[in-house]
Amino acid sequence: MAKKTTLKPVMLSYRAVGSATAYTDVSGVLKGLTITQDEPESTEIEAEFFDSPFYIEYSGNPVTINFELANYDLSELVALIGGSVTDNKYEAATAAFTTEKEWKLDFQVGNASLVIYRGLAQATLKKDEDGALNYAFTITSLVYTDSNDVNHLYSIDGSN
Amino acid sequence: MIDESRINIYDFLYNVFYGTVTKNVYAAREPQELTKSDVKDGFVVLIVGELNDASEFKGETYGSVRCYVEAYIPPISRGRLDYDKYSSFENAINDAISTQIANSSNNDKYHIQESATLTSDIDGATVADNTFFTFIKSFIVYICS
Repeated sequence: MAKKTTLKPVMLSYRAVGSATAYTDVSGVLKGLTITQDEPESTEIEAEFFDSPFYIEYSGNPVTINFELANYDLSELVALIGGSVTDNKYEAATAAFTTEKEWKLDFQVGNASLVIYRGLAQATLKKDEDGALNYAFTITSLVYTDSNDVNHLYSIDGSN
Repeated sequence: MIDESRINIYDFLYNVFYGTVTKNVYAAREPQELTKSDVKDGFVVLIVGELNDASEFKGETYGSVRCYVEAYIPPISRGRLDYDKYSSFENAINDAISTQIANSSNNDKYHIQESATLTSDIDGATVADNTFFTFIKSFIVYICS
């Protein structure tokens, strides 16, 4: 293995959590896709007679991917944000809809891809001034437990 | 950048303005040699500006580009502005843009955005030793995949 700088995302895709089937591409994404993970929350066990605590307990935060989907086929929306399509007409879900998928973000340079094993996706309708009618997606990583009871969060594939 | 060829945008503009404004239509820059008709009747030059791509990847989202139509109007005697010719050029260009917007379909690849149409002030230019009055109409073309 060698050190690599990873940049330039080239494709976002998804498939069912834990499956080995082919990924489905989500290509019509606006510029501005971001991946963030907040700093862990910390709880200090304070010492009475010292300035430093005895212990600091950290609890981590999930990885979050945000993007806006601007170019989509109405039939694509059903798998991502629920609702239904009949006769080229999309009917949105009437309640907040979430879906869990395995998400993969491929890169052109450096490591090959970032995989969120179990990402909870949620989207809202959005149109900025002078912009397209978009769906603003938030994908939040959840813990995925495989069939061997091993927990996973995300992985980076370095085989480029 | 968006998966788009600039020459296709020039072709789109050419079809909008050729014959509707004048048959003397040139792309990218004014010609080095002018025809008799260019000198007598005037001509237009089409310019495609910088492409702005909104795609994160794959160039499949959408893009926009500001385009320019430069009209070169020959003067009348003593180098005076030909009001009739000037207004006929301006009206014809406005009409060509309005017609294109009215006739465009949701599924077309290129769309002229009506609210982004601007006109510059009148000015003078010399092309191949001939003087012209010029004005520029500019507008945004949306490129949809």
